[in-house]
Formats: sequence, structure tokens, C-alpha cells
Amino acid sequence: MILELKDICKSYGRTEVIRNLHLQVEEGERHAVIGPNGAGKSTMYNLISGRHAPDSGEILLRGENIAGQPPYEIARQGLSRSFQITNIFHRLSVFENIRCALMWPMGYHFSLFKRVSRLRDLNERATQILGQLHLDSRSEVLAGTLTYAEQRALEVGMTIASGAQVILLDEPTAGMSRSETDDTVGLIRMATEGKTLLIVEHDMDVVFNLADRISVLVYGSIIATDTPERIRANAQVQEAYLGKEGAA
Amino acid sequence: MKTVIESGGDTGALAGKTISRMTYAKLGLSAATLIVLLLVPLLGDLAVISLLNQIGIAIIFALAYNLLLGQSGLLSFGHAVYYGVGAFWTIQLMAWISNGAFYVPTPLLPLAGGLGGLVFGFLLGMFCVRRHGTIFALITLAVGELMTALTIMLNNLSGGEEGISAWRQGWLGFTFGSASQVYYLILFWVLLCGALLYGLTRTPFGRLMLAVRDNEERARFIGFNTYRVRLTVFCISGLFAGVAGGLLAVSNELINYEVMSITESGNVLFNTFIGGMTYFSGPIIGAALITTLQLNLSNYTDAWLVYEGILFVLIVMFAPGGIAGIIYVHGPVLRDGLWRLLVRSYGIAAVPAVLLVATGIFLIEFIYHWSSALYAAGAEIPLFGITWSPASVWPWLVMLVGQGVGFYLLLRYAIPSVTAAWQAVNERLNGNEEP
Repeated sequence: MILELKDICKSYGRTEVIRNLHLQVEEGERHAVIGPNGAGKSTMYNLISGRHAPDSGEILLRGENIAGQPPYEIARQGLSRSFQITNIFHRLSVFENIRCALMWPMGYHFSLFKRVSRLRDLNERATQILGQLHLDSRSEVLAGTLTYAEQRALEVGMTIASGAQVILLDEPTAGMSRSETDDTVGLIRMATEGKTLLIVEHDMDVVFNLADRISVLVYGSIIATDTPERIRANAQVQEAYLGKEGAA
Repeated sequence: MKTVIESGGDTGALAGKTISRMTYAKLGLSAATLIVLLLVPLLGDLAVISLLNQIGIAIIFALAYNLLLGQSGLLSFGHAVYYGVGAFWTIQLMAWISNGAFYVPTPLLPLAGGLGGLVFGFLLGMFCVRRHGTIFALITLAVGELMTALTIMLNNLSGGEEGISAWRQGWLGFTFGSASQVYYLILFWVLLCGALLYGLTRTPFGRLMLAVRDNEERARFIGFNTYRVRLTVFCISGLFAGVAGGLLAVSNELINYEVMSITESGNVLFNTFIGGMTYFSGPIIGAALITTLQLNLSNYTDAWLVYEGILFVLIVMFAPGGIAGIIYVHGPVLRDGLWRLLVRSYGIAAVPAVLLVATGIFLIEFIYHWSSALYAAGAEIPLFGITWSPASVWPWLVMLVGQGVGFYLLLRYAIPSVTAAWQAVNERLNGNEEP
């Protein structure tokens, strides 16, 4: 078990968003979380990644409780997340966005006495990742001027760049066309090879295509975790989620 | 064609991408500038030398300040505190040295100032950088006022309102008795600090500062404790501000509480912003220009602060990149020979500009003279070699008509013409980029 959420609760004011949530993510699996809007998926991510602290419960990363730790501590322990709303360095070049994401993992913490252009390992790795993202031709462009799909790709790229073992993606294909989605899924598949992926996604094709296991989040708790086939067949899930989707 | 990544800016120059011809041109220009700077004292013009001394100090201070403002997005209203602490530590040290308490060679004295700035940068920074944005600005303002008040109160340490004075000591063959020897000392420190601060922008930490400025939250999610990043920036900035303060002590031999007042904090903000905070060279340009104007214009007019204020407002509203921004925007235009497209519109714009500036100066000076006590009785006002009577309608008419016509020409002809010319230039520039 690489990541485990035990009995997590979180309220914002009087609104209970997460109620007694339990989730187990196995090492090396691709685990999707689905659920209707407002079910608490993004909140769950914010709790795991340290953006907010849960009111109660434990979040175990390799058996160690990380609940309430600041985001940078969690990131340093090898858990990296992307954001549903693109969260990049708009006024830096695309190349610099990736390079910044690489700095801490590659050991350049508060380097005041090294020339960044001479750090061959860092620059080569950044170039390599840009290639994987098909952003190499855009490397010197300011990230804020990229197209929406390119920004989404950069968002995912910054998340996987760190080489973290546990990767949390929050709707990586939201707003993308079919072919852009296919590209992104291919990228995610390649980048998470041998790693653990937790993905929140609304696109059911992506979910069933990518996931080894699926958890269904409804009203702040997980109502089922199983293989894609059995989730599809699960009556409770159909009622709570897929049924709605079918009706719409 | 390789794109030239603008020099000295912070959009991220990559190694090996700059055209070498440009590099040689820049090296040549730098060498020429250095030679001129080294030769200036031989002219023996004391006023020029002492002006350059003040500019040098202002440059170091503004570069230090821009680590916060431009490179980290932290707007401080109290950065003179670290400048002032550096100045006081150094002047105190100079006093002790004169008493024979101990010895530090004069050229190294600014280091003592830097140490003072660093220590206080750390102690006060721990509180200041907890927040960014408005709260940060307000805390720095409060800390600045607090430190100024403390300085006046702590008579024993600061000399109260009179301040402390001490003499520089000689070192090896140098007596530092003349302004030109002090000039070389300041020049040395300006070059050293400039090189170090420029180098800092090229380090991983320098790039990280920009990332935190851009999007602090994301920086936290890629492993960085952004509080520590800001604190480190604050300390480095305090260090260099302290060096500038130390040089001020060595140069002036007299320091009082005014050195850390809000006026000084405002000055460094003006210098940096007017020069252009998004460019490394911006604060240098701003410090040089504003210091020169301050020292020279104050001989001609008491209303200098009004002009500085107007300049600041114009830059904030119309050229957020500052003077450096205006210069750099024209770089590619000159290089690609597109300036022909602009000349005509700039000529058109010059007419209302000259008219507005001339009648504007007239207006400001007239009102200033008129409102001062001397002329209260309705005496004549001497301006531009002519004596004007405020009771007469003519001077007012000239000014108001001049302003009116100026604004009309500006809005009706100048702005549309310049806008259209720039559109044409941008189309050509973008057309060149994409094959």
C-alpha cells in the first residue's frame, strides 16, 4: 500500500465536504477516482497534497502520516500533483517552467553559486521532457501565451517532471479535443510507467482506458473500489453516477 | 534565424542562443563605459565626481531593492531600514577606528554595512515576509516607521537628530581625502555588487525567485518552501542595501536618522520603478537619471518633487516597463531597420509633447511662485527671463491654451499615429519570426 486515506473528514464552515473517506492505492497501479460534480474529488486532492489539512483522519504515504504537512514537504516525499485549473508560471518560458519543476528533485535547492545555464543534467532533462510533451518547438515562449491544450500539457509535464513515485492528476484532459485527449493519455501512460497514478477524470473513455482500478466518490465518501468491469456492473455505482451520466 | 533573448531581462536567456555579434558589441560598449568611468576623475570636475559618487550608491541600493520588487514581486515601503542600518554600522565603526579601538581598512568598510543589512534583513525579514502582497507592503511600512522612530530615540547609538560623524582613514597609499579617491572606491563596489547581483539572476535560485513571484502556490507544490525563498531574497537584498549604506557613510562621513526614513524608501522605489523593474538594467538607469535630475534640477526649481511625481505617474500609467522598457522595446526595431516606420509618428507626437511640457513647466513654476509667501502680495514673477504679473490674464491664457491645444493634438493625432505605426512594426516583427 503506497497511499492510504483513513477515515478522513473535512468541512468548510458548516458544509461537510469529505465524510469518513477511506481509500487505498496500491503501489504501481493506475487508480481513477470518479464521481459527480461536487462529490469532493478536488477537495480530496487538496488534502492529500497538503493544500489544506483534514479535520480528522490519517493520510499515509508509504505508511507515514502526511496529513497536514505543507505541500513542499509532501512533494519532497515523492508525491506530485497537477491542478484542474492550470497553475503554471505564466511569465516564465515553457522551458523554465519545466526546469523549475526539476530543480528540487535534482538537488538544486537554494543554489546561489551555480550558473543555471551550465547545469547540464538539469537542462538536458528539461529538454528531454519538453520533447515528450511535444512542446520542444515552444520552449522559449512565455508559458502564459501557450494555447489552452498546450498549457494543460505543460501542467501535466510539470507534475511528472519531478520523477515522483506517486502522481495525482486532476482532470488532465478537461477541455481538450479528442485527439489532444488521446495524446495526453498516451503521455500519461508513458510517464507513469512503473509509478503509481491517482487520476480524477470526467471523461469515461479515459478512465476505463487507463485505470487498473476505479474508486467512486459520492457525497464525500468512497462507495466502491474495484476493477473497471465490476465498477461498470455495480448497481450502486450505476444509480449514483453512471446512471445520471447515461440520462444526460 | 535564432531569436535574440533580450539582454539583462528576466524572461530567461539560454546559453548559446545569443548572436555573438551582439555579444561583442555589448562587450565593446561595456569596456568603453568602464574606461570612461575610470578616466572621469582626471577631468577634475568636483561636482561631476560627487554626483557620480551619489549615483553609484543609489545604483547599488536600487539593484538590491529590485531583488524584492522586480524579481520577487515584493513591494517594500521600508527598505531604507537596511540601507540606514548599514550606514549607521559603518559610521560607528569609522568612529571607533578613529579612536583607535580597532582597525578595518577603509575599502572594506562597506562590508560592515552589508553585514548590518544582512543581520537586520534576517531579524526583521522573519516578520515581514510571512505574507506577500498588500500585507507585506504594510508590514514593511510599519517596520520602517518603527525603525526611524527608534533611531531618533536611541540617542546614544544614533546621535539623535544630529547623527554621527566620523572621518575616513587612509589605507596603503590612499588617503581617501579627495572625492576622486572615494569615487574609485565606490566604482569598485558598484562593479562588484552589480556583477554579483547580475550573477544571482543566472543561478537556479535567481530563476526560482521569478517562479515564486509568478505563482507562489505552484512553487510550493514543486518542493520549495516559499517562505524561506522570500526570506533568503530579503536577506540578500538587505545585505546589498547595507553595502550601499556603508558606502554612503564612507562618502558623506555624516549619517543621521533621515537615511532610513520613508523618504529614502520612497526614493529607491521611484528609482527602481522609473528605471524599469522588469529589467536588470532598469534600476541602474533609474538611479542614474533620478539622482542626476534631483541634484541638478533642485538648483533651478524648488518644485522638483512635483516633476518627479509627474514622471512617476506617467511611467506607472503609460510605461510600466519603465525607461528600460521603452529602450528595450526599440531594440529589435533598430536592429531590423524598422525605425523608418516610426519616425513620422514620433515627429507628429513631438509637437504636442513639446507644447505640453513647455506650458506644463510654465504652469507649475508660475503657480509655485505665485503661492509662495514672497509673491503673496501680488509682486511680479520672473520666469524664463520675462517678468509676469499674476494679476494679468495673459500668462494664464498662454498656459491654458497651450495645454488645451497640446492635449487636443495628442489625443487627435499623436496617439493614433503612434499606435498605428507600432501596429505596423509589430506585424513586420511577427511576420519575420514565423517563416
